[in-house]
Amino acid sequence: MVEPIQAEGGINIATKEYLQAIRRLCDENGALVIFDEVTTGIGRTGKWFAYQHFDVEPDIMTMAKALGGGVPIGAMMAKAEVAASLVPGKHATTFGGSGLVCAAAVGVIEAIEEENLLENAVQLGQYTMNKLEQLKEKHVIIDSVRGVGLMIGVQLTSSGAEIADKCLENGLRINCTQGTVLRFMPPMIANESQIDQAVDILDRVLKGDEV
Amino acid sequence: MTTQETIDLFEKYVIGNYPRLPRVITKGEGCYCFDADGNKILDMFPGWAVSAIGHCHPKVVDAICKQAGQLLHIDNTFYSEPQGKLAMLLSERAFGGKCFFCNSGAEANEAALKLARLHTSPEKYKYLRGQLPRANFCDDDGDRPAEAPRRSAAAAAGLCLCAVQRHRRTGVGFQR
Repeated sequence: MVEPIQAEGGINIATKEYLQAIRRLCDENGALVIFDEVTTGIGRTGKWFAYQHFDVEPDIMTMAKALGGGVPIGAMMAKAEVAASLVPGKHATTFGGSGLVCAAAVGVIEAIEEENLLENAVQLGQYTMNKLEQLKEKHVIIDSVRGVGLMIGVQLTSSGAEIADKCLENGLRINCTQGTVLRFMPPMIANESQIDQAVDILDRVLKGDEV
Repeated sequence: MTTQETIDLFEKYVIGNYPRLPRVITKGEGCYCFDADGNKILDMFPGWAVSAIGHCHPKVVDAICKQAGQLLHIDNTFYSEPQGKLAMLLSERAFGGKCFFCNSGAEANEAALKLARLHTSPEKYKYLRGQLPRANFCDDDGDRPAEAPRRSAAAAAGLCLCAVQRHRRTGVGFQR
């Protein structure tokens, strides 16, 4: 079980070779490949699922978070021949797949398609990465910027928790994970001026200016 | 209610397992959320990656309202249209698989591991110490380089291996 892009782990992007080697190793040993797409699934990376960037297919995949647009829903998808093993009596949930959350999730998928949000995730992701790369030139605390689509991590050379708190005090919410990685995971509906505003607040916080 | 009154409720009645920021969020709209003191926040991490098409997307709100007036919940004793339709939409956008629906990522991963175990065989299914996935199972210890030799040994022995990789950057397999 692997996240193609580690989320809590600090936006660590697997290499194609690594995921393909996992696929090969599992095939040779009769094991199944499971991709955890709980954070990466449903468009944030610019494709519906992150594995589609890597030319490797899993046997089983999980998703949740973005799927319901704000309501609690998770899903596990399996190739038909694998799914056949989950026969009645083996697994169940009372709430799972209820009308309310499934209707919300259908609404999410339709919104993404009608508003071309996958394309926006690609373009705005690149724009955000460029802006953050420019910021790196100005602030030595920024070690590197990495990301796919709108799943972006800013690797710092020292602790980032206080920086994230300071951003919030100045009207911007970002997240800090693993102590030194600032996470930008903007909504797929965001535009360039909102990204500009966010990067500007971070810039001023890093400079130590009061906003 | 004031911010402090809400915080007081939490102090008294909600288990303190989250290090919360001292703000009460009362409204969300697109890329912004608003707190009880009237502050507008540009949200570049909405809902911990949940609100990926923004807060309260009108199409999602509309879909929820329509469904709420029709049927809120029916258990899996029966068929229901939204579940079937959603499964089709997901399958067509991925690798053509079949879906099981639950309520969270932790439950989805639980189902995935259970299915993997059922589909291969229980005696071939190995958990590696410190590598159990997500909060349902584990101490969240992540992937440690020290485990690598054990993993290879298990693979060599032909075991169906469940290595759960998350949380830690190990230096192996990641883009620089």
